[in-house]
Amino acid sequence: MPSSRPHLLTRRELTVAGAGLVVAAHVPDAWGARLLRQSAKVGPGRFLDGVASGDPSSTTMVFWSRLTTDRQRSGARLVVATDEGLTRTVATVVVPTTRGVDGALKVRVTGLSPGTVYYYAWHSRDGVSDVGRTKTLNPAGSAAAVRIACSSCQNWSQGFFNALTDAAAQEPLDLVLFLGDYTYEYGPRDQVRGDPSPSVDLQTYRDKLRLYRSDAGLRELHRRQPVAHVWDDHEVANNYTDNNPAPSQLQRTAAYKASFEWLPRMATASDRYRMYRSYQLGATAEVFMLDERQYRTGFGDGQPRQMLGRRQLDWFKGALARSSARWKLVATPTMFSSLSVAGKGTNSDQWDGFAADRQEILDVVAGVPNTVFLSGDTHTFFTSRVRRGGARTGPTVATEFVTGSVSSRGLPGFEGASAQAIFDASPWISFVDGDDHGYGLVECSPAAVRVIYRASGLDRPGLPSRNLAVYDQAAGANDYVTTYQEPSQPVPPEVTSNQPLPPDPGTASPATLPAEPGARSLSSAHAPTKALARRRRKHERLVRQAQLRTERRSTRRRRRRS
Amino acid sequence: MRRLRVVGIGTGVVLWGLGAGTAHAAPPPNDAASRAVEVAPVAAENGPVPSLEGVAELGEATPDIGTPRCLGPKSFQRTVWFRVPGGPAQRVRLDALTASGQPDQAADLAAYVQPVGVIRPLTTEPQACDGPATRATDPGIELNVPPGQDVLVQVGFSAGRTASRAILSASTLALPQLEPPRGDAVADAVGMPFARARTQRLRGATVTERDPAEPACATAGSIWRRRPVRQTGEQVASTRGRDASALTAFVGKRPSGTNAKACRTANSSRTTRIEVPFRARKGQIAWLRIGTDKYAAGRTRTAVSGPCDPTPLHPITRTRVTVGAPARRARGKRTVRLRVRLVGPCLRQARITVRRGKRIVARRTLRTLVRGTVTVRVPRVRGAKVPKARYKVSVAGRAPKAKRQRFGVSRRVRLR
Repeated sequence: MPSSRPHLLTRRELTVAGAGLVVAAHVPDAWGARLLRQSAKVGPGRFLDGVASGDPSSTTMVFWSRLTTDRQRSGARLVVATDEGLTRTVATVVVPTTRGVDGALKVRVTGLSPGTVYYYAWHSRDGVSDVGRTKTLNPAGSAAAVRIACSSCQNWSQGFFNALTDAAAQEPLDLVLFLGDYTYEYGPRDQVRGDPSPSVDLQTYRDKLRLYRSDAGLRELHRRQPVAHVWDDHEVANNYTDNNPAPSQLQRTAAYKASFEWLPRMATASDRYRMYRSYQLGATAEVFMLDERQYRTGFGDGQPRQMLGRRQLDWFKGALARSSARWKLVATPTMFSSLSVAGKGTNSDQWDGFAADRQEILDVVAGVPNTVFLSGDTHTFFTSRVRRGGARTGPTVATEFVTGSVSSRGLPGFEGASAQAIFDASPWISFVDGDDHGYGLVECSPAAVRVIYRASGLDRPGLPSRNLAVYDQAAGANDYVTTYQEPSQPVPPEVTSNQPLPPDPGTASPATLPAEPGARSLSSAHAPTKALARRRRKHERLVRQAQLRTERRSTRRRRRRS
Repeated sequence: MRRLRVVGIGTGVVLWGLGAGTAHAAPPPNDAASRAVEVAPVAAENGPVPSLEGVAELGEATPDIGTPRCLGPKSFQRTVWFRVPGGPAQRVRLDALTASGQPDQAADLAAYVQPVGVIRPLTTEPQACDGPATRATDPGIELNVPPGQDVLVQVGFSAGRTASRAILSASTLALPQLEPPRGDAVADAVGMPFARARTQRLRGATVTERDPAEPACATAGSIWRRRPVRQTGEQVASTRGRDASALTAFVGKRPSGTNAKACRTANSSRTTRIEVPFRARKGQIAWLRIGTDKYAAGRTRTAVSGPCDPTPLHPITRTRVTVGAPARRARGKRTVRLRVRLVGPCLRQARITVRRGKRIVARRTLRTLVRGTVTVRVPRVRGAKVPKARYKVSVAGRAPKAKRQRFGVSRRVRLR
């Protein structure tokens, strides 16, 4: 018999429902009571992997180190000061670490002064780290000159990282750009140095980074200069983005994670492994770092072929067009200009394989003067003019300096290609040197940019560096002038061998240095103090002697060959 | 009919309350512990891969009703499960990696060691967990697992996280077959005397299926000790040894994640002392978990005492030394045992010195917690049957709460 009452809950039902709510509300709280809080504290561990700083801005810096300990949790105190003795402390912070991040210690310190040199060290219960040095970027609007080093491709087994020792010895650089192939995933190969195992998972990628960081040059570079790194393929596996075969998600993610653990940079909230970003070096220069691997599509994934991915490409085009800096330095891990070798075609793993993306960028670059591409990947020093029509035709809209490799040998994709074969097929390229290895030094002032190729030997540690070539580019010219080129280098057709070459800027008189008053100079004549001038004179003498020795050696070698 | 309706409404409300706000569309196949997917081997172009992979698709995953949320009530809101197969005694290393293209949101990670031969997954108590709630940038777990025991791995995201994918990396390392130390499992916890330090073997310590997780003081292996609490108040547990990594105190009928009272980790890699103060009532059982990260670890020395005076120690006035004459049966042939009873606060470190005249005849240093009776052996006076000499006993040391505060107290006694 149907009830005449309205269909509402009875008292009993209400009681049961209320009890249910109480249970539901109570149970998770009880389960959540298990967390005991531990404050961050200085713990055990030793600093066996050096120190590093990087990812700078004018007021912030990311500081890095790593604790070696068998404890699952630990921590260390960072002290930042304005003097080498760490007495004038400006910041101190306790940073926790766990086994989950392999003992990595990372912290972004804010509130620093722009354009200032800082010293820092880490303290744990078991020891103190080396004292590191770093420098914040110049303040916005500053017209002061900036100096940047640019390197890529360091293969442990193929040689010692002497180029980085040279870069580390420079007076505080504003930034060191590392453009990919910071490590190589390969295992044992019978070369200059033994590399015990290949990188395939999280532990082996970490082991690889630990091995590379044990190189004295690399460790010293990180200790003395702020670094910004962007990866290429070998941080994961050779050409892994071609998906032939595709790496496992574990391998790819493990490599990314290890790379973030070991380098001084912080994750981005919206995109964990985002690397593309720009660094504003006052009003003089802005550096655009491009990630050309993580978002690459179009290889067996059913997506259009893109080097940067749409989001990064749009960001880059917008940021480049908006940039108010005098020099726009585009840091691209792979070579931007077209690279053809007579009889061998092009390498589709670099920008030549992504013509549509490149053209889209070139259309923006055409309206943005003073754009300079700084590149890596090819293990070869290249100097090139970037042309608007697909990089092969049309007017020159930018220049490109491929700053060789730290130690990797061979031209990927074109092994054995001669310089002449490259000049013949790629007349926009005016310098090729795959036999020497080193890095590039970029000195920017509002009036001009100077790019110096530095090279050093690989076969044993401590070999000196020398200048390979020097280029000067005046503001607004969108073209460079060859200021110096080592006599033994092959000369492209447009530069006749009879053309007198200016003296090596390393031994140049002060008059040949840029007239820009704010330009930084390493010359003893421009030293602010007598003591520094004395030190610089000694350094210059040593450099001259080293160059003389190198020249004599190369002359002897040439004679022997002839 | 009405009863059915009442039960139905009650059950519905409970379930709604537990699972409110979760997605329900097409959960992944390994959404529940009973359907955990075994971590799989993967290949790499440049060599064999020792680690195993689990891809956690968490976009549509649901929470686990009845499973503890190890990292707080908001943790493990969306979870999936994996299984690491058992083998010989092994060190299991688990890492939850944030996938490429995802926001910077660390996953929640928990491990459940399964008993041998279990049919239904045991998920009442996680043995380890890690995640953003413990301020871990990337969660990682390391466990020494006894032979033949699988490990269920729960990967999830807390409420409010938008990430939808995480990658589980699992690697195992076979450990040498060692006899487990005494008290390796909670059920085998060894009783401890009051206020007396005892040496424990840590070598071969593992994490077993009843060990509750304590993420703030996580260790790869642990042993258990227990002690009924004599008096209500603040107790202090202390352990000293090179290989002890953490000390955790639980109070209750049996240790669980909800009754952990306090924990501390070792401050140094060298020989170190870990002290854990915690409150307990008379009659309760204090459970001490001594953790180590080394499988081939050495020994540690542990003591528990209390109640301790919670107020800061006053150097002399609050420490009383009672020296009792040795009982006849306690007399040795060459030495006399002098009992020193320390009353008052729990001492962090104490040195008992016995002087006869100006000469020091006995000394004992106590490096772990001290409170109660301590015996010092005093050599006999040559030629005398009974050492009827006058002695001066002095105690000096440091208190646990005021580490820099030192104290000293002495008393003259005459042995008869």
